[in-house]
Amino acid sequence: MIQEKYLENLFREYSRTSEFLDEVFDENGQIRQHYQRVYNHLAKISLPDFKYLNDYAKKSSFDQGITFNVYSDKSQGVERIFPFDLFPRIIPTKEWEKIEKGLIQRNRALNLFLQDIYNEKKILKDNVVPKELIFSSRHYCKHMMDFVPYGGIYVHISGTDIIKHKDGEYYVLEDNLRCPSGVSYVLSNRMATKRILPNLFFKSRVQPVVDYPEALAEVIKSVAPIGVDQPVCVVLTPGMYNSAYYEHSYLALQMGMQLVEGRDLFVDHNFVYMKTIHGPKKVDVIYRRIDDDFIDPMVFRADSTLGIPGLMSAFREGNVSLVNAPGTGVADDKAVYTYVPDMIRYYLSEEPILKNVFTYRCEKGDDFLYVLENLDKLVVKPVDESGGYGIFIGSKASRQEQEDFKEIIKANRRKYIAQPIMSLSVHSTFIEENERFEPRHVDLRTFSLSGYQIEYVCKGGLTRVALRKGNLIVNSSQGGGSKDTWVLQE
Amino acid sequence: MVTYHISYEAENVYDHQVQEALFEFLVVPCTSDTQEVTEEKIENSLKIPFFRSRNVFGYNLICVRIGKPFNHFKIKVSCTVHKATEDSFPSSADSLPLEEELAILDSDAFIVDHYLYIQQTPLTALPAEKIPSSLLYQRDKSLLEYMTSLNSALYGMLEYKPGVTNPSTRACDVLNNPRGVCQDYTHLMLGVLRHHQIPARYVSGYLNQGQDFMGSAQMHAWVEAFVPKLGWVGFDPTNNRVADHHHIKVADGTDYTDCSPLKGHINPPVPNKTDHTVQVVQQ
Amino acid sequence: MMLSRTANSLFWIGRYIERIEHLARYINAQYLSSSDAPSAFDKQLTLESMLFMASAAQSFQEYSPQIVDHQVIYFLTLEDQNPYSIKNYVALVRENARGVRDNTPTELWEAINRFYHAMNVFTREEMEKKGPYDFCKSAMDTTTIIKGVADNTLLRNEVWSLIRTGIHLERATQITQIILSKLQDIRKTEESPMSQAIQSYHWAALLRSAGGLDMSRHYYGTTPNRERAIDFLLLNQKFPKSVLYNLEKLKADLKIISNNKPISPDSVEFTVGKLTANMNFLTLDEILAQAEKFLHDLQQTLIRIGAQIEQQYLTF
Repeated sequence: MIQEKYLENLFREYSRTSEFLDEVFDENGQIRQHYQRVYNHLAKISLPDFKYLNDYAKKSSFDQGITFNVYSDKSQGVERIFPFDLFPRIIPTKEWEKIEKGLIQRNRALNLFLQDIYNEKKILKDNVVPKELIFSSRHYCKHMMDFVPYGGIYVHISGTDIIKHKDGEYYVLEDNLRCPSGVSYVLSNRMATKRILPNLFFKSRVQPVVDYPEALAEVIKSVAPIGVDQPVCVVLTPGMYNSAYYEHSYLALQMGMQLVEGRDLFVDHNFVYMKTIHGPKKVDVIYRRIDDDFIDPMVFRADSTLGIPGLMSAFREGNVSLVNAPGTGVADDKAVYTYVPDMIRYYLSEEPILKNVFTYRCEKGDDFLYVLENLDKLVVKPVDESGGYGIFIGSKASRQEQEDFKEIIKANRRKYIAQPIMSLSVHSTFIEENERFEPRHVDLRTFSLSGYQIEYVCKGGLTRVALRKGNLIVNSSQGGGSKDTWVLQE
Repeated sequence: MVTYHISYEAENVYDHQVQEALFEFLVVPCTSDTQEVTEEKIENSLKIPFFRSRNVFGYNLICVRIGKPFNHFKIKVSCTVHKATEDSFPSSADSLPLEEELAILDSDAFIVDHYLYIQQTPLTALPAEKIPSSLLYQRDKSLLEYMTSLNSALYGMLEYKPGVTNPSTRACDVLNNPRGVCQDYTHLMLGVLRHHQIPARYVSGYLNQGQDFMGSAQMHAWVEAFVPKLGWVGFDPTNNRVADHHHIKVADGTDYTDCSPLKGHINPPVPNKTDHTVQVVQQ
Repeated sequence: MMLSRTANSLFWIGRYIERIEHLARYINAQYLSSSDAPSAFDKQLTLESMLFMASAAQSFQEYSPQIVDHQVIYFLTLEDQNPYSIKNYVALVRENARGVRDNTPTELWEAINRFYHAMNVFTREEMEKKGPYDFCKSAMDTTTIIKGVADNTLLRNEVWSLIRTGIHLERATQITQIILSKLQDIRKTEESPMSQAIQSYHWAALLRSAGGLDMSRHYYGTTPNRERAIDFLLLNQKFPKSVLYNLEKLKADLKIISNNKPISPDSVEFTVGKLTANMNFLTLDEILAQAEKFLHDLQQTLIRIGAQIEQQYLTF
């Protein structure tokens, strides 16, 4: 008779790595304390039972329609699920508190930065952020000049990507300030965990995430134009062929808001109206999931059929609020990112709580020498080119290319900054092909909200897993998966 | 003081029926220190109430939203404008000493404040090596003197010829083929000034039709350049003049795209033909 | 609060579903009855009649120079090139249903989605070998199922009423078109010596094409003739396919959609109300005196009603 395998056996075969930080096991191969309960629970599940639960999780997300679509033409779309790993990622209370404070601080500074660069431009005049970097940005939006959206809030929804480095510290990898997506996976992953591992979940005292749609609705309503009592708020989607349509319709439904397309709206007398069977109905706030380029063909791309002609005028007249405001892309650029700690110091007179990946500025003597000596370990970026252009990755360059690039830096030291290549932590993850648990790189997409006198961080987030071995890119289109993320209660 | 009666008419004819549309007209003269608009009248063939809006530079837009099917639309905007005749064009004597002027021009704060008018746009950008040296600023005379000489140089260099260019013709195309109309003169002058980091903007407006000026039959375009201490100064390279009481300003912006008299969005996008008629009569 | 775009999709789900059902039934009935038609009956006429009923005579001419039975049937049922083939109508129903998933129960979407996938099973070869019966039967059954699912799951609010509005308007239109189509067939055979026999065959075929042969026999207790067939299909108050029955339903559903708003003379509610009142007080003799003209006028009014509904509620 064949002995039935339990996950405990699988965990014993788990291949640890010393190269990266393992979220579950410490350097000695011991379970980290905050994972003990989950480990004990999972260890006692037999492999066939676990596989059954795993399949059930997959099936339930397909049935719920939690899929992202890869469409080739109108009628034939391939619907794929974003693979969900049952082993949750756990963040201890203390660590989370710091993340949460750090995110709020970061959002405050970024909002102040946006208001500044579109109005007084003090930070540029004071040379804290190079003006060339901002003015060269494709996302610096002329149509936002000399205008402040309601409450001075530009970024209402921010998706900050965070990683845990070998040193055990969290680092911000990038800010997503335009239309960050993925929160529907956070909610559906949580639903799946509750359904599939109910006993474990309810014993574990996990912070809830279900309040996100409610908080989002609050934030959206809080920025309604002045004098509007019961604001009509809508979710604007590019349409059902968009890959994130599921999320748009899910959030609209959860928030009790109408899901609309651009063709459902029009502008007259500088107000936005929705076309209903009983005539035009005024719209006060638009949570738009359409990129800046497409929201108003009178102002941005004239060939856009997704937007609403005249929307920007209505917005600037203060008759409708846009969530997020246009022009926020200038602040989530890779090069602008390196200045966020400076923005925090400049606007808030505080030290950054969350770390940025360390940045060497070649204009500074010590930094310059370090960069020249360690070029093979660094990523070098020009400060006057946004959008990821001109980035030099040391580890991928030949010796000759490195030498050539050093000369380029020497010729214009002010122009270059450099950052070390960060190592993402790994997390024990079930690999279907060989029915084993293996370490896989993870990051964390957080979701935080800023409304009028509201600041909120979703307690959890989307832990993205690079399912391919050694792959550092954690993205749904790159063979990635996700985990439910548990923030423990005190 | 001089009084003008100005009328602007636009007629759009569509090959097929349009279901809905939004039009924005940037055609009403602005009110400023030197001009004042009175007795404004706006009519349209569909008798749809218009509304006003402001563009990003704060200039007045006349807007019409049409929510019912149509295939013909005509609008007529007429107004009376009073324009000051005591032309306040500054003289070089008013300028700051050259060194001071240049120091301000090169200062970070100045560049940040005027970046929008310093940064080239696709319509004004010029390859540095293509600019004739005779047009370049040698920093040996005041900005005002340089601008005046550039204005004359461009007037001499270009041939006024309607029909060979269109609103999307770029300044660099005009350098290669030095012919065109007012917006081509203007874009080229903007390109050269911005090459020197001198803030300069595109101005659209009307030109007195009683004076035999080039480009008065339709809406006109000229340049405003910024001189420290003196502020924005107007130049009309098409007529080798400074902008004066014959120039009635409507709006300014970075280039033609910020100032086009008519912007519209129609659904569905059917082919159409637009005719503009402009009348500027001095009373 | 309902978006006009949502309303538009619901309305057209109703219309297309109903159109598919009538097309399928007509093709089937014509195809089957042509086999037991009197000898003088021209088979060609059946095919022309099918094309006329589907308003596809002209587009078919561009598609094929000759009217051959398997060509006509393929064109009307499965042809991708024909935007008005049953298969393409099913795709349109699905497109519209996909856009209103937030407003409708999952069961309705699933039923429609299954219909779409079931259509893809049929092939040209099979259709040529076996004829259109299986295909048309499946289309008729499935439309009935979908309407049943809607009936059993939807709230009785404007979502429901918009689908019903589409169904009733389309049914009235299709019945009118079917009668016109038959009157035309009859006119074409009037010269023939066996005209009388052919005519009674046509009246039966007409009722069969509208799915009302059995019930008309039951109602009148005798075989159909011109008077009975037209009376039954236009004016019967109890037969759910008669034009008058559908106009009454249309009136009721529009009332729900309009939220009992007072009726103005330029509204669709006014047009429908007036047409219904007129038909309620029409005598059969008045209709029969100039049947084709009456039907053409009726058809024009129905088209106007459709346009008014679109203009009043569905424009986005």
